Amino acid sequence: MDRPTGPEPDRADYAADPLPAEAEPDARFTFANERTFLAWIRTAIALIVAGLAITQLLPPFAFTGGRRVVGLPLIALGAVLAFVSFRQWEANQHALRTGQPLPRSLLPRILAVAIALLAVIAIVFVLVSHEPGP
Amino acid sequence: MSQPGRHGGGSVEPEEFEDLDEALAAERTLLAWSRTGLAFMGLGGAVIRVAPVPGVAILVLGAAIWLLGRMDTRRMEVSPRERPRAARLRVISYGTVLVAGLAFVVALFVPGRTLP
Repeated sequence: MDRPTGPEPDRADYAADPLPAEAEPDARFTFANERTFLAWIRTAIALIVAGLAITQLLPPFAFTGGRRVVGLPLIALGAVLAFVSFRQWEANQHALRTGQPLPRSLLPRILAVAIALLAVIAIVFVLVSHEPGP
Repeated sequence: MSQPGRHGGGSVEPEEFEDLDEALAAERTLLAWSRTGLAFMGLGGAVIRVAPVPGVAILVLGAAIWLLGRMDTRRMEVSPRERPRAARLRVISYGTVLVAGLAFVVALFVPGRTLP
Protein backbone atom coordinates (compact mmCIF):
# COMPACT_ATOMS: atom_id res chain seq x y z
CA MET A 1 0.00 0.00 0.00
CA ASP A 2 3.01 2.30 0.24
CA ARG A 3 3.11 4.75 -2.59
CA PRO A 4 6.58 5.59 -3.84
CA THR A 5 7.67 8.88 -2.37
CA GLY A 6 11.41 8.78 -3.04
CA PRO A 7 13.24 10.30 -5.98
CA GLU A 8 12.28 9.26 -9.51
CA PRO A 9 14.09 6.19 -10.78
CA ASP A 10 16.83 7.12 -13.23
CA ARG A 11 16.70 6.61 -16.98
CA ALA A 12 18.37 3.24 -16.89
CA ASP A 13 15.43 1.92 -14.85
CA TYR A 14 12.98 3.26 -17.40
CA ALA A 15 14.96 1.69 -20.24
CA ALA A 16 14.80 -1.67 -18.54
CA ASP A 17 11.09 -1.30 -17.80
CA PRO A 18 9.54 1.19 -20.23
CA LEU A 19 5.96 0.81 -19.02
CA PRO A 20 5.13 1.48 -15.38
CA ALA A 21 4.15 -1.80 -13.77
CA GLU A 22 0.47 -2.08 -12.98
CA ALA A 23 -0.67 -3.49 -9.70
CA GLU A 24 -4.06 -3.86 -8.10
CA PRO A 25 -4.28 -0.81 -5.84
CA ASP A 26 -5.01 -1.19 -2.15
CA ALA A 27 -8.76 -1.60 -1.76
CA ARG A 28 -8.82 1.32 0.67
CA PHE A 29 -7.42 3.67 -1.97
CA THR A 30 -9.98 2.46 -4.48
CA PHE A 31 -12.72 3.08 -1.94
CA ALA A 32 -11.38 6.52 -1.06
CA ASN A 33 -11.21 7.49 -4.73
CA GLU A 34 -14.78 6.33 -5.21
CA ARG A 35 -16.02 8.31 -2.20
CA THR A 36 -14.30 11.40 -3.53
CA PHE A 37 -16.11 10.97 -6.84
CA LEU A 38 -19.45 10.52 -5.08
CA ALA A 39 -18.80 13.63 -2.98
CA TRP A 40 -18.24 15.63 -6.18
CA ILE A 41 -21.48 14.23 -7.60
CA ARG A 42 -23.36 15.37 -4.49
CA THR A 43 -21.75 18.79 -4.86
CA ALA A 44 -22.96 18.86 -8.47
CA ILE A 45 -26.49 17.93 -7.37
CA ALA A 46 -26.41 20.67 -4.70
CA LEU A 47 -25.42 23.23 -7.36
CA ILE A 48 -28.23 22.05 -9.66
CA VAL A 49 -30.74 22.27 -6.82
CA ALA A 50 -29.50 25.77 -5.94
CA GLY A 51 -29.77 26.89 -9.56
CA LEU A 52 -33.31 25.54 -9.86
CA ALA A 53 -34.37 27.10 -6.57
CA ILE A 54 -32.96 30.49 -7.54
CA THR A 55 -34.66 30.58 -10.94
CA GLN A 56 -37.98 29.08 -9.81
CA LEU A 57 -38.59 30.01 -6.18
CA LEU A 58 -36.72 33.24 -5.44
CA PRO A 59 -38.74 36.48 -5.70
CA PRO A 60 -37.59 38.22 -8.90
CA PHE A 61 -35.00 40.99 -8.88
CA ALA A 62 -35.94 44.49 -10.00
CA PHE A 63 -35.08 43.61 -13.61
CA THR A 64 -35.93 40.65 -15.83
CA GLY A 65 -33.53 37.73 -16.19
CA GLY A 66 -31.65 38.47 -12.99
CA ARG A 67 -32.45 35.12 -11.40
CA ARG A 68 -31.37 33.26 -14.53
CA VAL A 69 -28.05 35.12 -14.66
CA VAL A 70 -27.27 33.69 -11.22
CA GLY A 71 -29.06 30.31 -11.49
CA LEU A 72 -28.12 29.04 -14.95
CA PRO A 73 -24.33 29.20 -14.39
CA LEU A 74 -24.82 27.21 -11.17
CA ILE A 75 -26.60 24.45 -13.09
CA ALA A 76 -23.94 24.51 -15.81
CA LEU A 77 -21.27 24.30 -13.13
CA GLY A 78 -23.04 21.22 -11.75
CA ALA A 79 -22.83 19.59 -15.19
CA VAL A 80 -19.13 20.42 -15.45
CA LEU A 81 -18.40 18.93 -12.01
CA ALA A 82 -20.35 15.76 -12.80
CA PHE A 83 -18.37 15.26 -16.00
CA VAL A 84 -14.90 16.27 -14.84
CA SER A 85 -15.12 14.36 -11.55
CA PHE A 86 -15.46 11.08 -13.45
CA ARG A 87 -12.40 11.86 -15.58
CA GLN A 88 -10.63 12.70 -12.36
CA TRP A 89 -11.65 9.37 -10.86
CA GLU A 90 -10.26 7.56 -13.89
CA ALA A 91 -6.99 9.49 -13.73
CA ASN A 92 -6.64 8.82 -10.00
CA GLN A 93 -7.34 5.14 -10.45
CA HIS A 94 -4.74 4.94 -13.21
CA ALA A 95 -2.21 6.70 -11.01
CA LEU A 96 -2.94 4.26 -8.18
CA ARG A 97 -2.50 1.28 -10.48
CA THR A 98 0.81 2.45 -11.87
CA GLY A 99 2.21 3.91 -8.66
CA GLN A 100 2.38 7.42 -10.10
CA PRO A 101 1.70 10.55 -8.04
CA LEU A 102 -1.97 11.50 -8.01
CA PRO A 103 -2.77 14.12 -10.67
CA ARG A 104 -3.63 17.61 -9.50
CA SER A 105 -7.30 18.39 -9.57
CA LEU A 106 -8.55 21.64 -11.06
CA LEU A 107 -12.05 21.11 -9.68
CA PRO A 108 -11.64 22.89 -6.32
CA ARG A 109 -10.27 25.99 -8.05
CA ILE A 110 -12.99 26.01 -10.70
CA LEU A 111 -15.65 25.64 -8.01
CA ALA A 112 -14.19 28.32 -5.71
CA VAL A 113 -13.71 30.91 -8.47
CA ALA A 114 -17.15 30.31 -10.00
CA ILE A 115 -18.98 30.48 -6.68
CA ALA A 116 -17.10 33.60 -5.59
CA LEU A 117 -17.94 35.27 -8.90
CA LEU A 118 -21.62 34.34 -8.68
CA ALA A 119 -21.76 35.51 -5.07
CA VAL A 120 -20.45 38.93 -6.11
CA ILE A 121 -22.98 39.11 -8.93
CA ALA A 122 -25.77 38.08 -6.55
CA ILE A 123 -24.75 40.76 -4.03
CA VAL A 124 -24.83 43.43 -6.74
CA PHE A 125 -28.26 42.25 -7.87
CA VAL A 126 -29.61 42.29 -4.34
CA LEU A 127 -28.24 45.81 -3.71
CA VAL A 128 -29.60 47.14 -7.01
CA SER A 129 -33.02 45.60 -6.33
CA HIS A 130 -33.20 46.81 -2.75
CA GLU A 131 -36.28 48.88 -2.07
CA PRO A 132 -35.69 51.71 0.36
CA GLY A 133 -37.81 51.44 3.49
CA PRO A 134 -40.83 53.69 4.14
CA MET B 1 -26.12 -3.27 8.16
CA SER B 2 -26.15 -5.65 11.01
CA GLN B 3 -22.41 -6.12 11.18
CA PRO B 4 -19.57 -3.71 10.57
CA GLY B 5 -17.73 -5.59 7.85
CA ARG B 6 -16.35 -8.99 8.63
CA HIS B 7 -15.86 -8.11 12.25
CA GLY B 8 -19.04 -8.55 14.21
CA GLY B 9 -18.49 -5.85 16.81
CA GLY B 10 -16.32 -8.07 18.99
CA SER B 11 -12.79 -7.29 20.06
CA VAL B 12 -10.24 -7.08 17.26
CA GLU B 13 -6.82 -8.64 17.36
CA PRO B 14 -4.09 -6.07 16.66
CA GLU B 15 -2.90 -7.92 13.56
CA GLU B 16 -6.36 -7.49 12.06
CA PHE B 17 -6.36 -3.70 12.20
CA GLU B 18 -5.56 -3.48 8.52
CA ASP B 19 -8.48 -5.75 7.69
CA LEU B 20 -10.71 -3.71 9.95
CA ASP B 21 -9.62 -0.50 8.23
CA GLU B 22 -10.54 -2.04 4.89
CA ALA B 23 -13.94 -3.08 6.22
CA LEU B 24 -14.50 0.42 7.55
CA ALA B 25 -13.45 1.90 4.22
CA ALA B 26 -16.06 -0.29 2.55
CA GLU B 27 -18.62 0.85 5.12
CA ARG B 28 -17.83 4.52 4.54
CA THR B 29 -18.14 3.98 0.82
CA LEU B 30 -21.50 2.29 1.27
CA LEU B 31 -22.70 5.29 3.27
CA ALA B 32 -21.38 7.66 0.60
CA TRP B 33 -23.45 5.81 -1.99
CA SER B 34 -26.52 6.10 0.24
CA ARG B 35 -26.00 9.84 0.68
CA THR B 36 -25.62 10.27 -3.06
CA GLY B 37 -28.79 8.28 -3.74
CA LEU B 38 -30.66 10.35 -1.16
CA ALA B 39 -29.39 13.59 -2.72
CA PHE B 40 -30.85 12.50 -6.07
CA MET B 41 -34.12 11.47 -4.44
CA GLY B 42 -34.34 14.84 -2.71
CA LEU B 43 -33.92 16.61 -6.04
CA GLY B 44 -36.44 14.24 -7.66
CA GLY B 45 -38.97 14.94 -4.95
CA ALA B 46 -38.61 18.68 -5.52
CA VAL B 47 -38.77 18.43 -9.32
CA ILE B 48 -41.82 16.15 -9.23
CA ARG B 49 -44.02 19.11 -8.23
CA VAL B 50 -42.98 21.15 -11.28
CA ALA B 51 -42.43 18.38 -13.83
CA PRO B 52 -43.78 14.98 -12.75
CA VAL B 53 -42.11 12.76 -15.37
CA PRO B 54 -38.53 14.02 -14.99
CA GLY B 55 -39.12 14.10 -11.23
CA VAL B 56 -40.02 10.42 -11.14
CA ALA B 57 -37.05 9.65 -13.41
CA ILE B 58 -34.66 11.39 -11.00
CA LEU B 59 -36.27 9.57 -8.06
CA VAL B 60 -35.73 6.25 -9.82
CA LEU B 61 -32.12 7.23 -10.57
CA GLY B 62 -31.63 7.96 -6.87
CA ALA B 63 -33.05 4.58 -5.88
CA ALA B 64 -30.84 2.90 -8.49
CA ILE B 65 -27.74 4.63 -7.09
CA TRP B 66 -28.67 3.53 -3.60
CA LEU B 67 -29.02 -0.07 -4.80
CA LEU B 68 -25.82 0.07 -6.88
CA GLY B 69 -23.93 1.05 -3.77
CA ARG B 70 -25.17 -1.97 -1.86
CA MET B 71 -24.59 -4.41 -4.69
CA ASP B 72 -21.03 -5.54 -4.14
CA THR B 73 -19.34 -3.27 -1.67
CA ARG B 74 -19.00 -6.29 0.61
CA ARG B 75 -17.26 -8.38 -2.00
CA MET B 76 -15.07 -5.39 -2.86
CA GLU B 77 -13.33 -5.87 0.48
CA VAL B 78 -11.97 -9.15 -0.76
CA SER B 79 -11.28 -8.17 -4.33
CA PRO B 80 -11.99 -4.67 -5.58
CA ARG B 81 -13.21 -5.06 -9.13
CA GLU B 82 -12.38 -1.85 -10.85
CA ARG B 83 -13.96 -2.31 -14.27
CA PRO B 84 -17.59 -2.84 -13.25
CA ARG B 85 -17.25 0.01 -10.77
CA ALA B 86 -15.94 2.26 -13.54
CA ALA B 87 -19.00 1.52 -15.70
CA ARG B 88 -21.26 2.26 -12.76
CA LEU B 89 -19.56 5.55 -11.92
CA ARG B 90 -19.69 6.55 -15.58
CA VAL B 91 -23.47 6.02 -15.58
CA ILE B 92 -23.81 8.23 -12.50
CA SER B 93 -21.56 10.91 -14.00
CA TYR B 94 -23.45 11.06 -17.31
CA GLY B 95 -26.79 10.71 -15.51
CA THR B 96 -25.94 13.79 -13.47
CA VAL B 97 -24.97 15.71 -16.60
CA LEU B 98 -28.36 14.72 -18.06
CA VAL B 99 -30.15 15.90 -14.91
CA ALA B 100 -28.24 19.19 -15.15
CA GLY B 101 -29.33 19.55 -18.78
CA LEU B 102 -32.94 18.95 -17.76
CA ALA B 103 -32.63 21.48 -14.94
CA PHE B 104 -31.10 23.98 -17.36
CA VAL B 105 -34.08 23.66 -19.72
CA VAL B 106 -36.54 24.03 -16.83
CA ALA B 107 -34.68 27.07 -15.46
CA LEU B 108 -34.60 28.63 -18.92
CA PHE B 109 -38.19 28.08 -20.03
CA VAL B 110 -40.41 27.52 -16.99
CA PRO B 111 -41.38 30.91 -15.62
CA GLY B 112 -40.30 31.30 -12.02
CA ARG B 113 -42.34 32.61 -9.14
CA THR B 114 -43.53 36.17 -9.61
CA LEU B 115 -44.27 38.79 -7.02
CA PRO B 116 -47.80 38.47 -5.59
